[in-house]
Amino acid sequence: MDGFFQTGSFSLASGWFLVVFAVFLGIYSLVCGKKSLRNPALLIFSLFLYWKLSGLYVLLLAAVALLDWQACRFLSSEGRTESSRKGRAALSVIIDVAVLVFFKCSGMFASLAAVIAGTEALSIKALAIPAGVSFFIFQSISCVVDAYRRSAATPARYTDYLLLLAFFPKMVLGPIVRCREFLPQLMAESVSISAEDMGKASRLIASGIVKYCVIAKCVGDLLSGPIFAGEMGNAGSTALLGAYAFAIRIYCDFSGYTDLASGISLLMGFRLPLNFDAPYKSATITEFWRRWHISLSSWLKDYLYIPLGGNRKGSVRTYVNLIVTMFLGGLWHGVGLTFAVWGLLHGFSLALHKAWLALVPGSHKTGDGMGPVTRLLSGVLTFHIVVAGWIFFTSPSAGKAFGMIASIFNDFNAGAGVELLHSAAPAVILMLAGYVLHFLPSSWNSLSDRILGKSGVLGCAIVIAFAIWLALQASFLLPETAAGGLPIYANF
Amino acid sequence: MIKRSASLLSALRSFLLAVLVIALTVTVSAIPSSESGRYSRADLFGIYAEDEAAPAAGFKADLKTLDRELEKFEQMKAAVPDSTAGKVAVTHEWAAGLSAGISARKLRVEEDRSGRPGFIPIEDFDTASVTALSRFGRRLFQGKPVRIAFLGDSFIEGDILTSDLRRMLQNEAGGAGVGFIPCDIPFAIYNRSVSRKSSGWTTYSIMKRGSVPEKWKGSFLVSGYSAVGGPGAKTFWQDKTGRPSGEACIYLKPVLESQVEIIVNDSLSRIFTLPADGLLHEIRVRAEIATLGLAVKSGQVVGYGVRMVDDSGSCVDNFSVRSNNGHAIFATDPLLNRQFDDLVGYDMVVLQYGLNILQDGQQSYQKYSQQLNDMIVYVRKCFPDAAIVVLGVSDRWIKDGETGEFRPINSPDILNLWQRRAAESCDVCYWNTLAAMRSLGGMEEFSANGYVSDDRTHINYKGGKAFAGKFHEALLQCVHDAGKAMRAEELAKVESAALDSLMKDAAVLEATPAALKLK
Repeated sequence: MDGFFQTGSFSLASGWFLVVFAVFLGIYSLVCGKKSLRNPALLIFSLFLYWKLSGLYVLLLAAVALLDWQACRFLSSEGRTESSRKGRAALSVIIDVAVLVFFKCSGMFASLAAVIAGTEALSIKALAIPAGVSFFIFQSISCVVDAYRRSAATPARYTDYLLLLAFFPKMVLGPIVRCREFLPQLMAESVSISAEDMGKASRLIASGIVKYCVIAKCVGDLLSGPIFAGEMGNAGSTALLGAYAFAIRIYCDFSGYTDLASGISLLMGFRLPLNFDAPYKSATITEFWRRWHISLSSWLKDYLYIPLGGNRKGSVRTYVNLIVTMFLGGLWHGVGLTFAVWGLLHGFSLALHKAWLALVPGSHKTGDGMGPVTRLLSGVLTFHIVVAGWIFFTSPSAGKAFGMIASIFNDFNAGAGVELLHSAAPAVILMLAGYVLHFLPSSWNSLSDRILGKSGVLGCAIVIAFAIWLALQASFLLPETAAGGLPIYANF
Repeated sequence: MIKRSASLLSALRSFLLAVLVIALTVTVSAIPSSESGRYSRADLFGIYAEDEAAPAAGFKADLKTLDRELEKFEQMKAAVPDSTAGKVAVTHEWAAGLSAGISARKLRVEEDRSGRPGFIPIEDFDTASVTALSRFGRRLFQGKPVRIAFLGDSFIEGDILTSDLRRMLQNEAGGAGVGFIPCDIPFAIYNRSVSRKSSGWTTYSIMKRGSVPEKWKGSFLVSGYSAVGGPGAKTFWQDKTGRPSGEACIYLKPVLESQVEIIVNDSLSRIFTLPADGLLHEIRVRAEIATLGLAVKSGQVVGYGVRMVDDSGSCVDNFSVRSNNGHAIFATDPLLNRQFDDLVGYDMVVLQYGLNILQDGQQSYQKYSQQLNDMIVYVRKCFPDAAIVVLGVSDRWIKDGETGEFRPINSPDILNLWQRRAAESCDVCYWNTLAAMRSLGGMEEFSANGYVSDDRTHINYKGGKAFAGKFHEALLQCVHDAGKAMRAEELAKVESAALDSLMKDAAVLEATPAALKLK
């Protein structure tokens, strides 16, 4: 039965996708000037790709969209009582959350049932998780809540709502787009792609390929992966190197894939919101969450933190709300102690920073306004809090994570780290390259967009082809079995 | 209307961009790999042809070519002058210092372990009167050194299992040194037995042979890595066990006439000139060796690695290649393997493979078993005097996507069955790793005792030690059996001699009265 739900796998960084997308663009260019043709074409292509990823779970996507579109229509219509509106919104949100919890926790429920029944014979097989289920459910919840708050319009057609959820570039990893941001783009009669858009799209695609296929894959497979799997010894210096490597790996993996999604969307005339804004440049943990996975952190803020009371109910309640929000955000990644610790670490750090802001006059929410030295020191501290969190995030158990952190302080053994630097030199160089790219001034992006925009289609194609060539060259560093696969966040 | 046309034009630009990217990448893929190895051909046709997740193309056995190549070896062997001691390879000797060495000693195993609970024997399917496994046991019984080659995947990477087996064997049968270590490999591997620093090599992995320039495709030894180096290429090995070897043998194949410098213990050095004769060269350095350096001074060589051993003692060599299911042996050069065996003289080759093809729900491994048959034939032809032991696959657990909990997969038993069947049909030996693991408490105990990595697939050094203990027990049983057989043969010889003597005496006695009568 699983076969019906898993027909295969592809990523936006695969050759197969490039060819299929080129064919689609040929058709798209003929229909993009007319909404009534363009949106159905986009929908069919998106559903085809979703079917390719998750098989018959495409029906689940359609069902969630149908339920929530009807709810949005109900909530947007005039003449409904407040209680009926509240009830309808709550029903939709509860069903959405139940679907999410069902798929993310079905295995755990099956194990619990077996334990309660006291027999191993009660074997309920865990279900395969539909691709991007978290992302389309979160998007749909935001549409329903926004419709309830009357802060966003609802598409008149079910197919447009379905396209809102299924739009293929953001299907697997987001960003989580809001109805009010994306619907106007879908409803526009025609799309336009300026020369600068073309330049920006090419830059995003090229940087996405380099980040995702070159840096993240090589650093992950050759450095952070083996270190966290315990294959490189237990010295503290190795653990620290592994933590730094994982920090750049997860950033390049996730933001690289998001860059690809944004670039591909832009080639079709759609603009996705910014999801990463050089997060390790953050001078405070609050700033970090304004730069890291922006669409999720703003979603958590709007649909969890604020409904919990936000900062409207006194300082203690604010801190508790922050901790609870981040704790639940941690558990969203997986029901386990490691993710719980990761969420709590960020929750407590945010609460402490909030308290610091309240208690220390002249303290800053972000790095803006800080002196260069303060900003540097604060940035280093923030970075290491984040890195400590990553150790829990990626460790197979909390015990192992605590052990790694303890080894950094108690058994550093610099010699082992130096030996690893030498023996894993290509991966270390790529890790450093990742950090260098990350810390380049943001203004360089818009400059390169303009330059690429002026260089014409051929210039853009050369840049993308060069990035693909780099990815192919980098793949020769990896064992054959390491090729392929989706980004880390596709598991969530 | 104008808007629609603008929209059409801008989308056509996007389409043109995608087409141009494909055209450019396809054009680039036509550029062949450079011979220096600085540039590898980007096979973009390959990435367009299939999904990224599709498995890599398999290696194929070409047994006819193998026979032709090995025929060449026999011809070469017949042609070599006596001065090279009949080897189709070249040995350069250097007595760099006093070599303490730990010579082989006779191994006496009185205890019959076969009845012990949890004992896992090596099953020998050979039908010869004295099998290769028996010959192996007899050598240890007679106090002759044995050489074991472990061909495997990431399960034994970093000298896992083999380091402990080597230590156990050397403690009892004599010998020192950490065995084979490659000149260079393209990624980091932690190895607790030895550290290696290398630079200046262009290194190819047999698992990435698609990107290997044509010139070097045929350069692979059974080790799976070829390091091509010109002037400036160097490697430095350092023993970490504290039991320095009495000898080091460096294996190189000169491509051009080359000069290489060997540096022993950071103090002594000597330059060797190697002719470009197409043969495998062995530089044998005798000294108590804690560190060893190799530097290419001129020319160009393919560097394979060093064996840090005692010539007169036993050793276990680890030839692990990550992701290899064993098929990669078909892409090695049989002639080179044969020359290597001619120099080393392996008594046992262990094939530890299969971990990478284990899949949850797989019901049959018949196809893999057939490929394993070919692998055994290949290995037997390259290492003709060695006992071949197929190691069954161990247990593997996978993380449940939903619960996040590890659970066993069902196929290790099935794969073991097919591995055993292949060994049986080829008349070689089989050792059930899965049964050994279960006798030690299975994955639950391995996990609880910290014997496995966090992926519940790969063992760590502790787990390797546990397996090594079990395998060592099985080897000791071979020695016991061999000793018993040899004693029985000796007894039979003595009895036969005594009987002959009695018969002669009887004949003399019978003849005596007649002689007397004559007198």
